[in-house]
Amino acid sequence: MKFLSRPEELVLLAVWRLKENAYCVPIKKQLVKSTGHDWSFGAVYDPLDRLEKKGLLESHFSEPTARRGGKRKRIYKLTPSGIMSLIDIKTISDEVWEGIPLKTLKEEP
Amino acid sequence: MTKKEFKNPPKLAERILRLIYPDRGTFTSLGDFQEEYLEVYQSSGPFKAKLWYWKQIAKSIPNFIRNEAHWSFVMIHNYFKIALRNIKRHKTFSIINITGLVIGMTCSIFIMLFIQYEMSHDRYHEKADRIFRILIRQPTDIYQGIDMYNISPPPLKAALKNDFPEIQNAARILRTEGLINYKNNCYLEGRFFTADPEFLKIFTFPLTAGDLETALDEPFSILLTEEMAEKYFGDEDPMGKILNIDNKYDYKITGILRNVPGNSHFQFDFLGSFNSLYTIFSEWHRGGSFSEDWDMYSFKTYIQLHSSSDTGEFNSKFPVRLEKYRGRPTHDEIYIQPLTDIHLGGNVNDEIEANSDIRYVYFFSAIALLIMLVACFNYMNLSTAGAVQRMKEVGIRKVMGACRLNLIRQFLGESLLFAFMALLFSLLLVKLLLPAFSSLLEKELSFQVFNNIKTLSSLICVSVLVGILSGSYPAFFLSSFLPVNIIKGKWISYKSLNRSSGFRNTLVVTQFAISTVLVICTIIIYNQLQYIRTKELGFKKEYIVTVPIQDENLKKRYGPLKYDLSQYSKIVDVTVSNFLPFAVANSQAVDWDGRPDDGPDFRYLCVEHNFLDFYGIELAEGRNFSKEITTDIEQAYILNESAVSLIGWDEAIGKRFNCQRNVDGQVIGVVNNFHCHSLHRQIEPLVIFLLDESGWWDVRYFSIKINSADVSGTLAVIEKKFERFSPYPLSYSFLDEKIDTLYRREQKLGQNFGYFTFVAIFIACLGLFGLASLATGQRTKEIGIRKTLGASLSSICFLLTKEFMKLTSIGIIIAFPVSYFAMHKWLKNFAYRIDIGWIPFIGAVIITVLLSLGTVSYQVFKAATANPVDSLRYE
Repeated sequence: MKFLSRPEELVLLAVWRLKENAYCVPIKKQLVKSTGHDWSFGAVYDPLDRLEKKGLLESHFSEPTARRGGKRKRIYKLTPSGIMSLIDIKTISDEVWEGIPLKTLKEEP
Repeated sequence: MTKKEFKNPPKLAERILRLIYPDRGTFTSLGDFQEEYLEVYQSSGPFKAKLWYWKQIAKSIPNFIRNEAHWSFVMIHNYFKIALRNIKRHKTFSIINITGLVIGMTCSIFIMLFIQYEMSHDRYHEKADRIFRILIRQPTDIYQGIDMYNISPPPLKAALKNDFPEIQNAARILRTEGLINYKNNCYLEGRFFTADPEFLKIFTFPLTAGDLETALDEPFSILLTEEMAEKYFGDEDPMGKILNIDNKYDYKITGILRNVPGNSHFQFDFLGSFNSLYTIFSEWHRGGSFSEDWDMYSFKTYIQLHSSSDTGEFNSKFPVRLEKYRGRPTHDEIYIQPLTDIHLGGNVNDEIEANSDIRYVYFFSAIALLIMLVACFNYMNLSTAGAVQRMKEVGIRKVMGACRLNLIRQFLGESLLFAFMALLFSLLLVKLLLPAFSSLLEKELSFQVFNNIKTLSSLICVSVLVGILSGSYPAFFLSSFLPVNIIKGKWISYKSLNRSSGFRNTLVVTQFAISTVLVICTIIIYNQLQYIRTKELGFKKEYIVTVPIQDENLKKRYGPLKYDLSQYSKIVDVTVSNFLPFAVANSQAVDWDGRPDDGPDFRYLCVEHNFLDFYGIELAEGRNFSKEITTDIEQAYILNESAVSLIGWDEAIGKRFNCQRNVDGQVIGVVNNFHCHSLHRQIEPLVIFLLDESGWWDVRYFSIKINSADVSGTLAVIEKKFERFSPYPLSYSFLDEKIDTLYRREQKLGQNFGYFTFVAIFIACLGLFGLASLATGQRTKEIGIRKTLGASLSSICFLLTKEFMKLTSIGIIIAFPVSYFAMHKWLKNFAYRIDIGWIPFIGAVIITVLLSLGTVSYQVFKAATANPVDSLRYE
């Protein structure tokens, strides 16, 4: 498999977490919450587009709502290969972090 | 309601966002922004929310710009490459296109330069906007159809200055000829001005030496131009030197003037001080100083106002009646004319130099526009016709996601590229041909592109305009193809093909209409000029040498010279007169029994006894002047037929007549009408009488009839004989050549018209050539099939030519009425003119048809003779 960039990874995970409600605004909120940094919309759109192009995400438009001034939402969903990719990521990162507790990292000068 | 409106983000910001965010169709991202905006709004209020929204935009903009720039650069690069490849691939087309544009632009630039030059006249004076010249209108004295005179009496200057406080400076100019002598370096100079000291304050004529303030104060001080300083003094310093003028007066040089620019409505080489005139005129001016003489209509007066803001009000105070100042009753009125209007305002009587006419400027602008149009049409035509070859490119581009706007941009860009290439070439051409063009127009045009922002920017504007104009139709046409059709091989729907060929045909028709109009006009102008040149003027004009006489002493005693001349074997006859018979310039009050009070003045000729015989002017009735009858000198008058018919006499002979003489005389004869002025006007009334001794100043011209053998030898003899009797250098000219100068303007016009016609036709033919090669190219297969089925060469030629001939003929038919009306109007300038007739039209038809036939014949012949095996091989 191909490696994903870190933002792509985070976005992909966020989409998985949000399930049915995975469109840009909550994705962004989720990212802000989990990383503690401010994310701009552009920074979210970009990985979303790339993931879609890679076939890890697919999207459809919701019905327009008044809250959004009559504009549609673009709702993302993981494709099977997206889920595969998440599994890969989880496996690899667990593997590489194997046996390194946070405590020991903090102790190193 | 209001609450809900508040929740919307700022309209403007939303619009910007909509523009710069890429997913324009769906607006989902706009929705995202709006949602977040709402949240910020609810948590921290409207101000913060708005601020947030704007911040988002500010953040996106740099990226957006970078993106756009990157892609447009990539695309422009690509467009450029494709354009260059296309130029290379279709060499003939590209050459035809560029040549057409280059020629069109070159002509237009030349015409633009000419117009610019014409418009720039007299504007270089710092105070140009508040200088006026004084004109006098004499309603009782109409000369050549004009009653305005550029002359005023000397006391008028002071009178006007007194009456109008707005006038800051006023200056009088007297224009004369002068025999200038410095150390036996002696020439007769025609451009000798005598002017008030204020002259240098009103006009901007910088001095390279001397003091502007005082240079013209002293009597007998003189300024001369650098050119003249060079001519008389060479390397010497002329300042303070003495010039002898007319063998009488010594002038001291007090300054050197820069040469007078070509775009001035008067030209002069010498500028004498006005105060000298008091001495010069005192000799013969009886009764008081000339400067108080209201009858001395000899000066040109210019005035300059304090400030340019006064001009409007000042203008409204004129005309003023001259009576107001003069005291004695007169019909004359004083008019003013702004300095900058003089050159293009046409001519009044007594102009220092012939002016141009605003109509010529319009006329040439129209020609420039027409030629440019023909060139643009060419481009449009060829690129639309050549579209077939680029259809695949358009299809592919569209499939790859180019929208129509991109394609339009691409093709417009291409035509702009062509236009700018053409501009570069034509700038080069203009630089090369400028001297030739200047001498053609007899004007010193200059062309500096890069140090003149105005020229440069207008050139660029013109090229952009040409590019857009000529690229617009092809761009819309080419971008309208549907990729589906193209790729299906259906290439183009018949409807749009027909539409485009209709448009192209209109263009060709227009081109040929324009060219044919120009051809017809050229032929008619040429015919009229020919008519003028060959028209019987009513007197003989061959082998007659004319010599103007300036020398006062010679005027008073010309007898010995005349006798001496007539002794020479190769001189047939000699006569003396005040004017030459083709240009009787002055008129005088005349009197007869029953003359009405406002009767017109007559032109008059003062002649010797042999004048009528000399010029072969025939008498209709009565007798010629006779030496036997001594009273003839003072009391005999010969009129021309128009004079007699104006007076209304049935029998003119023996009637009382007087022309400013003490003793009444009578009419002794009537001459047939001859053209005593240019053919622009009907022959005016004329009176001929004999020179008497008191009228010595009327001895203005020697006419010498010479033998046709050894002309140059005879001229040398004449020169030698004049040298013996007069210190003035001899200037002679042949009568027929002098007559031609009357029609100089028309000849120039005809010449220029000819050139521009040639250019227009050339461009139109270029276009036709390109079109023909395309059309025959597209029909190669058809021709092949026709030939295999047995079509003859001539039938194929006819088939192919028919289409073009149809277009040409329609163009010609449109051209007929247009050129007829235009030329009818032009011919009205002449009292004696040709009938337009059918010949010019037939001639133009023959020329246009032959040219267009010749143009297409190469292509047609090539296509018709091609072996069908080659053309059908693909299948």
